[in-house]
Amino acid sequence: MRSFCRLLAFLVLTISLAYKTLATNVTFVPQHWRNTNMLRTIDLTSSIVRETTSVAAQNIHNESIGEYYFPIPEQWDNHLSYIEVKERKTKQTFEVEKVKINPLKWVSHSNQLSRQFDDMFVMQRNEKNEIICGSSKKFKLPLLHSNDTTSTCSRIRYYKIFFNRQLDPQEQIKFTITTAFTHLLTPYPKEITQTGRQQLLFQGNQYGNSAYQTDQQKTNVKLPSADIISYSQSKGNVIRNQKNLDYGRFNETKPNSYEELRIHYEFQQNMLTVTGLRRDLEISHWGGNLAVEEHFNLTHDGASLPIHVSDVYYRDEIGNVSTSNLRYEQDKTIFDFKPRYPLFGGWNYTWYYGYNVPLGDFVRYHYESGRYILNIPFVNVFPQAIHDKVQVRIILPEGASNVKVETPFVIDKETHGVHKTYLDTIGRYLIVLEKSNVVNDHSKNIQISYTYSSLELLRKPLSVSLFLLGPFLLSMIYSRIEFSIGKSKRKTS
Amino acid sequence: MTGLSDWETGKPYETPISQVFFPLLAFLFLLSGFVAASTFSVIKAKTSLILELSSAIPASLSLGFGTLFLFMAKTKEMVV
Repeated sequence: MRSFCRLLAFLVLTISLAYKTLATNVTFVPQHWRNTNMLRTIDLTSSIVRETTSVAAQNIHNESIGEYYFPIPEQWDNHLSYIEVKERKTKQTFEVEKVKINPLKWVSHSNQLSRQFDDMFVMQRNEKNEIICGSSKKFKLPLLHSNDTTSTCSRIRYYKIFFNRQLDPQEQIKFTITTAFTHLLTPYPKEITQTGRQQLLFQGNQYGNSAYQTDQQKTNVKLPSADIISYSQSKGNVIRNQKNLDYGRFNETKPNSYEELRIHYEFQQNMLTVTGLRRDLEISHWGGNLAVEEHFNLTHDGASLPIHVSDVYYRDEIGNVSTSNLRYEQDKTIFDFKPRYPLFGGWNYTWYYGYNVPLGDFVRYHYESGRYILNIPFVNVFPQAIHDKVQVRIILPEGASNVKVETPFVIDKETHGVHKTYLDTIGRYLIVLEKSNVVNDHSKNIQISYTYSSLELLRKPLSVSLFLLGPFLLSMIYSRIEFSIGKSKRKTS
Repeated sequence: MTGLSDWETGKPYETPISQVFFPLLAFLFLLSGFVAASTFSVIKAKTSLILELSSAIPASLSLGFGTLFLFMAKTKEMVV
């Protein structure tokens, strides 16, 4: 009897839970679209996994809509570094926003029921102690909404894409979603000898990320070399073509379908990760100079600098590093530098380098608003390097005010402060921008605008003059002070 | 307007005084500064506060500007 009650209670709870999850899970996404075609390219040629999905979507709703949901599994979303959506024909960028899913609100009607519920389910709660989802301890009942048998939790994060227009029913739109993921590949085996061959393991999905029904889709995987140790077989066709693996054509796939894609392959390049980067940009109006200094934790053997560069230096803790060479070419300056010692897996190298460039190349004056604008890349990233943590500091001249920072991507932390250095009275305006998980897609320009009155230019020479007036005043005071003790005879002529 | 659009329509920054002149200006300001300072040193003590200040202030101003241009001077591009 008790077990029957338990089962009944469980069924009631499951159905109501399922009903609730139906409202917040896969079919949480209203099925207004249908992907007529999807072509996915996974680029594994570097240590950054780049997934480019070309989607042709059709509006199957009876109203005009302009929003599209794009899902990314949680394990992948934690490694997401960059996401961009562009329309294929016009190359227009669409806005992308991460969606916050409402947690399940479980209201227990009686203590007994909730206790039994706790018995049978492993609950996941969020910060407010609300139940988000649960996976059954004893029963393997798949819930009505998904084919995922591992848990009933929605381990999928959704991104909402806002098209720049509303699409009529039955109208099609073609767009491309570019995403970059860092630290997704695992070395397998983890340790090798110095002369051993490095192999990586990639785990993904044979089907593309889709919250909607897909009529047909294909996945193409690009590998760095033709040495593939193993790869997943598929229900569809797998065509191996030297460095490419083609999975497809899959017809009529349901939303959020999953089939493991596991590739074990050789990767002979360096896995460049810069664990920390600090980039200092110092503006000097008098000198018409922009000083750039970058403190690194890795190396590369070739970086191109802007053409008008001067006073380049490359140092580490010991001092100047001479394994470097600067040469001027027609449209750029090449600075070759090598670390003091070769780097094997697990080895570190810390160094910094800097140079000066004419300020006019990067800062312009906008007459109507009366503001100066600095337009400079956020980072100059080496092509296949991942930066775990980046800190960019911009130092504006003394007296700069009304500072505004504009970036094409989200910055993790932005702080404004004061930086004191040579010949400063009130200190210079300091902006610190911090971001983690940076790849070379982030080497886009950021704009910093500030107001700087020309009178502020006088601050520096006047402060020096004031300082030099000191000795004069001192001598004037000294000449007027009596230093003799007692009366003394003086010539009064 | 956005920073980028403003930047594109803006004029590249140019220093108020062309950088080429910095060494020359440094020399002239420092010279006049030292001349003024020597004028100050010749004044007999306790003659007149205003007289002393009238030498001290131009001297310190010239010397101040002179040292600034001295720090900023880059003689690489100067044609002398």
